[in-house]
Amino acid sequence: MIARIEAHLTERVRIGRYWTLLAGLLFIATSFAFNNPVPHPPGTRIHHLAVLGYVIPEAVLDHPVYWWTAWLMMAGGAVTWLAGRGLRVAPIVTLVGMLLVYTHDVEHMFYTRHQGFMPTQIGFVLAAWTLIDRKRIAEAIARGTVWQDTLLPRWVEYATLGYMGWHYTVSGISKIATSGIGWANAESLQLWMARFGFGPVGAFIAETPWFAGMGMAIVLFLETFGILGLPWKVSRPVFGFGLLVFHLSLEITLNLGFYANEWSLIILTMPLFKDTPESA
Amino acid sequence: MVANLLVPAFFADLYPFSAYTMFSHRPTSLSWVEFEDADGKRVKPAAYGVHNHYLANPHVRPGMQADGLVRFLGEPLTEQEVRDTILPRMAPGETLSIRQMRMYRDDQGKVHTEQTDAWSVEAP
Repeated sequence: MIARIEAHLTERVRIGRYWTLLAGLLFIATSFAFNNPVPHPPGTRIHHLAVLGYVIPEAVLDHPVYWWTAWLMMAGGAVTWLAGRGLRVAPIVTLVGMLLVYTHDVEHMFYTRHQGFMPTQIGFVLAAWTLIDRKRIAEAIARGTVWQDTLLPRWVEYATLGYMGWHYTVSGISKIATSGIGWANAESLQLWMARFGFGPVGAFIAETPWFAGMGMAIVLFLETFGILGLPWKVSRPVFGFGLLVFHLSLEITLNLGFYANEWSLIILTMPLFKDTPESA
Repeated sequence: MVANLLVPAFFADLYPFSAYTMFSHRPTSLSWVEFEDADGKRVKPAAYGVHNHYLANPHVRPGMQADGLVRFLGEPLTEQEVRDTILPRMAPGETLSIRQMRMYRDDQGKVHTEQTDAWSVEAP
């Protein structure tokens, strides 16, 4: 009986990984945006922190209608997309809405927050897949076999994992280019934790140089080699788990919640789903 | 997508393209100032244009939310800098006591916090 249930579930989630990923990313993006209608702060924008910040007039960006329009585009597009309707248009509307929402977010920040980057960029990949394969996806929906069909092309898997890996790699390179390999000498992490960290883990890191140094060295390695470690199937769970622990530790010590990154690492790197034949 | 795979990713931190530059620097000490009013009550330096943000992200936008003093890598603010910044924002006759603090790590790996200076500012 258990084996039958297991087989049934496995069958249903074979293709479900990317729909689950997409649903999670869109949920995080919509709820994040909804909880962050940032008020207009004083001061004049001297620099921009989003590409669209150079294009969209400040008066438009600060108008409440902009935010609500962008949020409704993202949320409405997401619901439509996930319902399998309007596959030619819904992904584009969703992505444009997401770009506008996160542009609003970072343009109201003092310095760039990176929480919106990964959902947007993985969103690009998933939107491209939906647009390219919309006929196959629509046919599977019409047949009621969307969960059973092997719809997922291999390039989607490697594009998402490669993109995630690239993100971490440029992060590692940025640290090495700015501060050298010695970035991981524990000192700065101890200071950050002592000044801004909280909770027992933050206190432990601040007081324990060997642990702080080890943590930094591991993170620097995982980030720098993310472009290799995440796409390669053998190392993927190790890199995924390591980076997940890194994000969770930042969350419980510095309140830096990279939920979309965490969700993507869980769905794409942890051995939760059985591979489809096409992606195996 | 393609743009992020090329050169801009190493230099720009413009949504949706980023090099994730947060925490790339390696500070060896952090410094900040603490304000108290005439009743000894702690007040936020930001209310007077002094921002104690240690900037984990070097792509800062001066003039956005911090139109006053900001320290990039945790270097201490001088008395003159603080005075020049807060005086135009203080009420006439208002007095503020200011402590300059520093955090550093010693050779044994232990983190210390110390007061490095203190002064008061009275608005005319």
